[in-house]
Amino acid sequence: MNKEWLDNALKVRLPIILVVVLVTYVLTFYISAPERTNIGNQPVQPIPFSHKLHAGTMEIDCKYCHVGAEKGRHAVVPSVNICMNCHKHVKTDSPHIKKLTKHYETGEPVPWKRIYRVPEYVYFDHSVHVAKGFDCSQCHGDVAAMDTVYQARRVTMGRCINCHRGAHDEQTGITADDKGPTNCSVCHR
Amino acid sequence: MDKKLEQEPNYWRSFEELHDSNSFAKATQSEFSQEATEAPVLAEMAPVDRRKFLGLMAAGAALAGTGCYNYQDGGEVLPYNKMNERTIPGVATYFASTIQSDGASHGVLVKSRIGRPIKVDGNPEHPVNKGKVPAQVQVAIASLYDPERLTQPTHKGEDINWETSLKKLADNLEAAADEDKEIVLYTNSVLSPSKAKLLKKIKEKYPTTKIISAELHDEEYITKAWKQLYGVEQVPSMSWGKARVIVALENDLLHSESHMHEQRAFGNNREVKRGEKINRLYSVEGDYSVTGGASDIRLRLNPTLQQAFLQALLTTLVKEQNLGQGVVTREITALLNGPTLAQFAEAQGWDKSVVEVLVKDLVHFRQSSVIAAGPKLSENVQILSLAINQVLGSTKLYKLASVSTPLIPLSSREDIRKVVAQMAAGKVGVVLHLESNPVFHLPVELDYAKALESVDYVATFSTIKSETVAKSHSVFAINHALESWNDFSDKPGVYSIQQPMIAPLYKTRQLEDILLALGGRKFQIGGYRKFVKNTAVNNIRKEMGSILPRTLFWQTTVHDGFVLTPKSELPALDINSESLAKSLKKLPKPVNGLTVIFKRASAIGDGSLANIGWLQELANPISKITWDNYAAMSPATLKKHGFKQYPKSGDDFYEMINIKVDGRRIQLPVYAQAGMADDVISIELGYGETEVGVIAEGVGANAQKLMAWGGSFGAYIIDGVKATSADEFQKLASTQEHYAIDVASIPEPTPLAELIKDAHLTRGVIKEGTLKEYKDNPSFVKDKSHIPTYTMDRPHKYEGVKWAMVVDQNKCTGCSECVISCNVENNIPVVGKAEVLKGREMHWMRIDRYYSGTPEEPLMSTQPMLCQQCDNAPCENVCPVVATTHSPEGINEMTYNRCVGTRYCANNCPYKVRRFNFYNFRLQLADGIQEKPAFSLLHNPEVSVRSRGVMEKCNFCIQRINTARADSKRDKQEWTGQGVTVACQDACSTNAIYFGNINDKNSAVAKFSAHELGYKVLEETAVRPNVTYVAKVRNNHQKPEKSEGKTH
Repeated sequence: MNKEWLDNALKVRLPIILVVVLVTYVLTFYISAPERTNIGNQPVQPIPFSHKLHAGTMEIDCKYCHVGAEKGRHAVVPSVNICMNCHKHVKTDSPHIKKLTKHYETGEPVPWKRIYRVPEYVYFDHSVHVAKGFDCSQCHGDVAAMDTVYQARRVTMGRCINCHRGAHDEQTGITADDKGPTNCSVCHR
Repeated sequence: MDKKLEQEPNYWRSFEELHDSNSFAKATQSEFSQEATEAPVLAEMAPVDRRKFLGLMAAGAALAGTGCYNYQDGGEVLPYNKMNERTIPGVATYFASTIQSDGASHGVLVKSRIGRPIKVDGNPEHPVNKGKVPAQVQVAIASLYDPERLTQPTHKGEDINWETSLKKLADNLEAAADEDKEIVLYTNSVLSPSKAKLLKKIKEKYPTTKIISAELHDEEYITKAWKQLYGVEQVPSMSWGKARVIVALENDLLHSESHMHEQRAFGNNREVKRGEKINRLYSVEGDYSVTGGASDIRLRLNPTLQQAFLQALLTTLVKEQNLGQGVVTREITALLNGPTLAQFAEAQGWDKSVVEVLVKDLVHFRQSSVIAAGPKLSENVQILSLAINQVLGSTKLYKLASVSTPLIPLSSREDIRKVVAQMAAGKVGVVLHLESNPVFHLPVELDYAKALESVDYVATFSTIKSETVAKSHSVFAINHALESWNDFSDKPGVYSIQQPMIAPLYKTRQLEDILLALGGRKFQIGGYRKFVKNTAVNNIRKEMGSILPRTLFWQTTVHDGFVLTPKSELPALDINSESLAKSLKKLPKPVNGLTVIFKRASAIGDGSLANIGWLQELANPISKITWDNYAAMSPATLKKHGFKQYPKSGDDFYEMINIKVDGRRIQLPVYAQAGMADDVISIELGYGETEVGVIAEGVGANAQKLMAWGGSFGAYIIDGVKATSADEFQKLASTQEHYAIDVASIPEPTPLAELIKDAHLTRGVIKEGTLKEYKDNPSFVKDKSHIPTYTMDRPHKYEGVKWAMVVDQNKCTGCSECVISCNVENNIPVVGKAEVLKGREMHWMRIDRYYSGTPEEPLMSTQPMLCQQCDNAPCENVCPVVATTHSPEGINEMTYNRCVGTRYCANNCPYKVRRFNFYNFRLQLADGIQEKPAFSLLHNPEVSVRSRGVMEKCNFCIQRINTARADSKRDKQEWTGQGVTVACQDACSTNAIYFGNINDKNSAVAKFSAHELGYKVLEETAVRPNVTYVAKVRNNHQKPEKSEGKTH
């Protein structure tokens, strides 16, 4: 009787439990991946701005609007006055542009939804990466093809370190000597 | 006799250590004191009451609900609406401005991030400040973001709007003018030419107006002496840099906020190089000051005897050395019939050879030796010191072409007394307090608070709550200095501009805008800006003869923060022998009882900064006491009165004493201060604020209650004081034994204990010597160092940039400006008195202060101690989670988000420079005032705000290094590490700290770290520290019998 129970436990129950645990782990790992990496985050923006139209069709340079990318840490979500450089004259009768103009006139900022986010203990500097010749799409995906922007690439420490260690294999013109530092205080302080 | 006193050398930090007390042994045995590591007491933690608990539960439930809804939601990004072309979020901008503090203006450079000021440093181009500002100005951002600031006007405690309150003010002024009653404007020092004009306009409009200008610490006696002796209103500045011999009489010139240039000049003359002379500083004082500690030769003297000392000195100089011909008249010589200096020294029990050297020095270096009497000494002492300077021919050192004419001179004490009497008599209709706090500052004998009751209308213009605010009918919340326009011309030849860094945070208005309206114009926000512009463009520009067009002149002045204006000449200095004779005849009689000397608080200024936690927690440079004032007296005086030094051993308890004179009485804890003159009590003023806010609540006692103005020694020195025990005890939070470097003594005598006992005396933590020793053998420090030649590994080669620091102990005075700068830069929390008592202060940088010699005549050595960024860092090896690692540039980096708080690293650090967040101290202190929304604006966004359970330490301002490196990469330049400064270095008023790339052979840090006097602390442990200390060389005289050499 006792032996039979042990036999049953070892041959049937244990494998079933192991399989269930494994399957749960694997499923959870893959299903929760976007939660951890934020990939696919595509919030509804207060004004349906199309990067595909502006950056893709019109070929406006990213840095025309994201003015901080070359100068400082933050690429900067553009201020309304940059939009108004064109939209004072372009498509002024669209209801969205009217909304934008109202923001501009009242001085109230547009509450854009954040897509990319690094934890607050990470100090990332856009300008250095741009100065090294990185194309925005290397980290942000092909934004010029997105109607509504979503997060296409991971921004995890693993991805940072990978590139910093790998001397930018994919990047032409950057030599091994010039590779990014990998010590902690470069990003954490 | 204590064993320690017999040893040579005998460095000690406190009497506890000197006398082998157990408490010190306990303090040094482990990294953290027993109290620091004990389990948290729930009752002591930040209180969570029922409402808060329910609130937290509700918030948690709400969060759980919304959190499930969209886990990817990153919140909103609110960009600028109309972004300024030059504002880049994440990139700091710097603005030149000027800030007034304690009667002087300081040229500052304010670091601002997206329009939010986050750091105030000195303006490097300002001719007086040259990049250095005192701690009181550095914390200007803390007073700007103080959550307890006044936010809007009130009338009789009720909030009212500006229109009503201003109308009330105008009506009351009109009423007073109609009734022909006096109007009193009680202001702090007026340093602004525009403001002076405004006040004069108000006086024109209301002719019964009286302007009283006063400060808690003034230099009235110096000003009066100049007027008496030379008949001039202006006091010239001094070329301290040219002075070879400085005799400071009760003068803390190396630690007073308004005298940054003295400190710099002193430091410049202290660079010990072979073949170059250094100056010699004498200090004659009753208290033990920073200047006394930094001096080469120090003489203890009761402050009531300063005049007798100067008369003896003058007698010796005139009669024995035959100086002063043509200056001293026959009549004066006849009056010099008292004791000579040698006789005076004998009566004082001074070493005879010391005064001989003093006279020899003064005579030998005549024309470049200065007697500098402290502002606390009476008019007669000042007159005598000026006369001696004239006898020595040192008037050459007065900067004749650099005097400033006072705009509205400070009122004399007689004037203030008269006005208060008028007020009490009901002859005053309106009193307006302009940024002043007379209820707190004026001595109790004047009874200012009572006099105010007889005034019809009292209004106070202030940024903070105060005792005077509490006694006022109307309170006008005004803009902070960082929100205001102003101009200053108190420094000779400099006209400087204050510009706002941020729009007013609250419903406040600028004081001068209101004054402008009182003067008859229509009220207008920004009206004063136009007024200042007018002064600059019309008056100053014309005065300078500038060829710049008006707009350009204004723009450059605002941009630079200052312009240089022509200096006025001082007339020839002819001594008025009559007043000199009068002073000589007025030698005060010897006094009975104790003498109290009131001094400037080393951190909190005149009390208006009492609500700034950073300042309260900054340890006094000498006593290392935080969060309190106390009655300091010499150990002998303490014994004589039967006060107990350690009433309850080991528990930081101090005996409370009653200090009484003429019916006035205060109670203070008594503290035995080594090196003080006997029968002298020194007390810091400015403590005991009751109104200003929760941080200042219950801190110290109001010593102004003991002050009286009528005494023969001036307002700051009173004699005939009695002290008795109050049979009570109070804890004083002294940091002097916290984080002590080595084991000093072990309670239980085991063989191991015997082996390491007093190890710090043999390990050479402090190395120093005398000038003679240095001349005889320039490498005497290196000869005595034990540098290990053995290593088990091959040292890592640092290619490229390698960071290092040098601290020149010849220049370091221990003033602690660097500590404040570090606190501001690195978001160091304030922990509060209770936590300091447990040894949990979070300062990344501490100034270790060691005494050597006897408790009566100790020498002081100071050593700024911070993370030494060891190449072989022992902390790195023991971290189980690799949270502390080494960077390729030689920095021992600390990764907070990785730290799990085992504290192994702190345990393994020989320098004890790591600090642990036992709590979230921001939440812990004063019901979480440091977590209030306004306060959080204070944080430097470049540095993580550390949370509970995380270890932290100095990292050579890694955020500045990273920013500079990013800049160089962005600009595609070679990274050489040039131009990076650290916060402590920026603040050091004597330029004692050098920082930079040691691999760059041309850098100052490379040069100084190779200095022949350079040594590293605990070098023999082979941890290879990267901070070099340049050994102090004392320029003292050689006693014939034994050598003074103290290196070990």
